[in-house]
Amino acid sequence: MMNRTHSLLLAGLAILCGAIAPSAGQAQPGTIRGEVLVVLAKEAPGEIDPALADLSALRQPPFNAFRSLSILERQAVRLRQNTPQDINLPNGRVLRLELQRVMPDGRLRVRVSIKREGEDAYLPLLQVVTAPGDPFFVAGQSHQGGTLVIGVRLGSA
Amino acid sequence: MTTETEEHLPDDTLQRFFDGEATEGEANDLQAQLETELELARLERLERLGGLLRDHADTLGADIDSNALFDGIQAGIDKAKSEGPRLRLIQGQRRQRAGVAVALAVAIAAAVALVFYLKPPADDNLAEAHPFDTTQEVIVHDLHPVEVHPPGGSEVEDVDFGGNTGTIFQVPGEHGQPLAVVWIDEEAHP
Repeated sequence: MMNRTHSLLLAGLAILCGAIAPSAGQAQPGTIRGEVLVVLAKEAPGEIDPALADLSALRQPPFNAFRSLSILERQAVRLRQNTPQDINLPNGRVLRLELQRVMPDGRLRVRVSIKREGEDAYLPLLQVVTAPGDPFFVAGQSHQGGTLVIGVRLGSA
Repeated sequence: MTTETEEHLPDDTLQRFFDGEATEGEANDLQAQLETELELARLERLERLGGLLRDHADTLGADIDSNALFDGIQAGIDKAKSEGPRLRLIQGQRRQRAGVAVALAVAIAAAVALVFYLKPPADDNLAEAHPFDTTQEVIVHDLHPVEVHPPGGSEVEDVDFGGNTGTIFQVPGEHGQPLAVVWIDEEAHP
């Protein structure tokens, strides 16, 4: 009887702690959650990944010239201000993202670069201001007979 | 014509003697001095002059209404009294002006109120002709506060293509917001 009571108390305590503690997926204060999407686009006929259906921008010119879109990489990121975060690209280069600041109007200023270790920077500097939830794209790298299209979306609308 | 010399009695003394207002000592002295013909002659002239003045006064008095004269005098005194506060008027002009202004404002307000009070009731047709005078009940179902969002989309502030060339453009997003695209021409990096 005593053991059963203790078990119930522990279960209740665990539920209470779970309700109070922040969820594991919740961003910590000062960090911006985001997502980096690496898409291989080809002009050759093929499939278009259904997960890209919500990216209407890829149906706009010049992206609509690609008849095949497949997701090669989809990585969640958490950016802290002035703390760069690297994402490995399928072609061996590294995409570096750095949140520079959150602007007074809520937009995010981000610094982007692409480089490969031991080589000159492929894209030394790209500075973008983006609204939370709205993506920006870096495209043009050749890969496996297609073109890499990198979409970066930070924050949520 | 006789002129007064220092030995003559002063006119005012003679006058008081003549009017019976001289003191007993003065009267005795005067009586002694009036014994001389010169002084008697002067006295006679004064008597004649006094008689003429009394006759003239009687003549004027017959033509003058003494009551009206005193009423006029009293009216003049009252007027002078009533005009006395003029001095205060000068000192208190601002106060009085303020008082006049307040009284004027009150009078105007009362007149306006009276006009509105006496105004005949508005014609119903006229009331319909003025939509601002009518009230309409509006039911608002959505009372959520208005949220202000930052400008949508993304834009490139700065770019360095390094040894490559590239293009910057925008494509419309889901809601038409501009989305930045950086397209790198990697001919130099196969």
